[in-house]
Amino acid sequence: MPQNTLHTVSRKLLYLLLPCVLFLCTGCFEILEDITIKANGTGTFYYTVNMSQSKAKLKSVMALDSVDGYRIPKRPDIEKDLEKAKKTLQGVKGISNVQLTSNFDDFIFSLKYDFTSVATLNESLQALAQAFSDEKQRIPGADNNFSLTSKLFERKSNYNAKKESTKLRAKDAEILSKATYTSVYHFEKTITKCSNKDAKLSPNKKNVMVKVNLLQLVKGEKQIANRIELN
Amino acid sequence: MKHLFAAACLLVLANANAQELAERIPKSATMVMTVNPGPHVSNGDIASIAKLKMFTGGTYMYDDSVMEPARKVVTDIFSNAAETGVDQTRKIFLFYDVTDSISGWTYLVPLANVGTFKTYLTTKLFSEAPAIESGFGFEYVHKQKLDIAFTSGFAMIMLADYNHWYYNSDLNYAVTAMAEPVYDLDTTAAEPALADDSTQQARIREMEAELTKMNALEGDSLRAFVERQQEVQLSPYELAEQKQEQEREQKMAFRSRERLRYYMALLPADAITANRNFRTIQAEPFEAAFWYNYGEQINRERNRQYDMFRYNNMIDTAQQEKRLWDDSYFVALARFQGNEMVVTQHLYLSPKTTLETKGMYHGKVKKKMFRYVKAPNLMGYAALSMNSEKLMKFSGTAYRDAMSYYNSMTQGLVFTSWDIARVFVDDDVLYNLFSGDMLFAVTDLRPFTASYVTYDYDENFNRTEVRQERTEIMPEFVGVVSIGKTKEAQEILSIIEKARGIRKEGTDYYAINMPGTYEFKTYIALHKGLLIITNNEELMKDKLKKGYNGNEGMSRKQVKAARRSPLMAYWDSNKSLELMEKQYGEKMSKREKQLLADMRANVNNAYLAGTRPQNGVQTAILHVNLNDSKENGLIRFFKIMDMMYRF
Repeated sequence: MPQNTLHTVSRKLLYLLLPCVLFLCTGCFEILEDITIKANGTGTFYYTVNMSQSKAKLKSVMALDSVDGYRIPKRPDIEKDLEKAKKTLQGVKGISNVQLTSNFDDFIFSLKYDFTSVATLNESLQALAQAFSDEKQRIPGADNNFSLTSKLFERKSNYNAKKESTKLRAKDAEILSKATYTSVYHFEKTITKCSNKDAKLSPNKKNVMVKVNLLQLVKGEKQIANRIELN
Repeated sequence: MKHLFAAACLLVLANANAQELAERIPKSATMVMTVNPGPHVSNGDIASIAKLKMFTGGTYMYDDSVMEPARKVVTDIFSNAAETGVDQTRKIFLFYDVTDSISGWTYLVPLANVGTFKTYLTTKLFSEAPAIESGFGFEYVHKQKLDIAFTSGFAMIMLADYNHWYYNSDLNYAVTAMAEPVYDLDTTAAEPALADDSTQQARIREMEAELTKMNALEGDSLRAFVERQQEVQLSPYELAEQKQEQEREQKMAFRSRERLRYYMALLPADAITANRNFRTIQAEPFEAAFWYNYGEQINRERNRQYDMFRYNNMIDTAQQEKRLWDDSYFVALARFQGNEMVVTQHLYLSPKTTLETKGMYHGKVKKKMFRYVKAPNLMGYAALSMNSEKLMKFSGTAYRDAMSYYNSMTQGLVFTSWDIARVFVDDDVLYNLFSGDMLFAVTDLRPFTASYVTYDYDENFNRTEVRQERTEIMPEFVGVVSIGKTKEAQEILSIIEKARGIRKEGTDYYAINMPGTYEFKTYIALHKGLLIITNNEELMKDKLKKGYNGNEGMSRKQVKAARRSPLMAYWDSNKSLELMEKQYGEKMSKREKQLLADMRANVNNAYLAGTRPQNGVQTAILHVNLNDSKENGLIRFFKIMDMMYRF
């Protein structure tokens, strides 16, 4: 069918030309996890995925159905998923002020909400994982990522780097090598000790930051897990 | 003359043999690949191709214990006739078939020596010798996910698994799944029903008997299994999980065996050889062929959604769509001649589509359109010449009617806009606003400055968004569309300008107001009956009147080649790769540099030329020209594919 032929021809040309243009533009992206914890255990969770440095590539890629065997979600799909995430979080007791922002010009997606306790924060992340898991794929490592006692805040990692990193394809590794994961935690109490070697303390000792390369994180060479001892 | 006659007889015999073997492929197979290894066996081509990483390695859906024999058998079929007993002088088939419950890839291989094949199965393929069962006129091996059935003349090797829809369905489902109910989407039919066919009914009875046996077997083996597990003190949860897993494995084995038996005893009417188009392409000369029955694929999707259609009172829609795609196939036949690979592609249209699209293709794309293509760094182009009225009528009626239910919101908007447009503009203008010629070319790769957002942190790690700049590489493109109604097109541009969709930049061109933060500009102009869209500012500023001439423009020879048929596409790989190397340079990783070097060493250029449909078949021929080398085209083509695969 000519409709189909048109489609076939344009796809053909696109597939002929796009790899040439795109395969070298392996993009960079940043993931940022920022948590503020007050003395009474309540706090604010902020999470953002910033793909701004890859936006030129993403704008081209979003015209396709899939790239490298990965399905490319369309803008309505992404918006639908963000709305689903918002509704899921709003349904978790102890979670409030859920704010979702999506910027399709720069490809930055952020999530921010308040929680009444670290246990509630864990529940909210578990609820998200459950909402986006299906029969075929269960989102791993979302159970009890954080814990807080009066003198200890712990960022755990349930990710099995040894097992997962063997599945990593070379071209995916290349993309991850240009990406970073940053975790920032703010406290009202002062920090006395951190277990993560890459952690940086602020001069007032109330804030800690860990910034790692995502490939090293996936391979288990670096960690985001951190035991933060508080005064 | 005598030799010619003998050669003709051999050709007929070879085709007859292949035909006979293909009678084991069900007509429901959505994909069939045919390899004619004959010309490439004795010189070792096939053996070296079979060793490429794309055939022997990679990520698969199964772990190594399953994939190891699967990889080995595929490699050995093509490379080791002495050990496998495979007849490499005849065609080898690989087909994909899907039932309601399982899907699988099956190799159909001619055998020269069944004794050798049997020895290979029992001593070479698996680490432990498998049990060979016999019955129904063939012998059979089931090991993990591999099912192998063979007779003295051929073997079928199937790797199958559940369709995820019925991942957890019970064994009883197998009976109806294997009988493959084909729902008649006739509007008058009250309920879907299994075909009232005595052969099929007999098969169902046979399978029901098998099911009784299986149930008994299942009970026995599970009892033994439970007893065994109790000895190792598993928790009730672990026990239940393992029991379920074993049940699944048994059900799968049962289903795949039944499917293989169905292939082995296929009735001529159910075989793919009953399809005239399949017989036709099998008679054409090729070294590798790909057959895709997309009519069947779409039909299956609809059958699965039958209840949804009925519930939503959408049977008419389903019926229309079915007619649009029925009996539609895509076929690609590859031949390797010296440094050239030629892929002939046939698109078989359904009777309804053939009727709706008759006369849709014009002749050639207008010569003057090529003036706007800057040639020195031309990477590739696509050119299409159609009768826009017929195209729009087809898109706006037949296609829309059938597809409306599935349209995404965007497509829905397009169709709504179409309806609104018909209120304000008469049909003549709408159908002839564009006169049907389209050209799209990528004329260069060039750097531009792009901005991005990142974060700065103060001493307490409070973040601030900051915008920074970086250099990126963008393709330079031009799109040219012929306009049938210039006055009306100009009016439409004026309306868009008033709606702030575009803004005047020079005296006779506009810049498109793109939503969002784009660092490069895209321009649009209406000039001498052509609508030109480009991101090449020079073209708009200085070349709009006359286009590119002399060394800057396409040569007469190039334009002539581009106008050979109503559908042309061209890719200059040497130029594209050279530009990539120049623009990306040291930014490339070692792997990227290697791929680029390998590609440059092998591929020269590629072009696709299509024809207008004749008798419901549209043909397009893709030529891939490879650089000179001592290796032949077949090996180098697969090596290039392997490079891409490994990348």
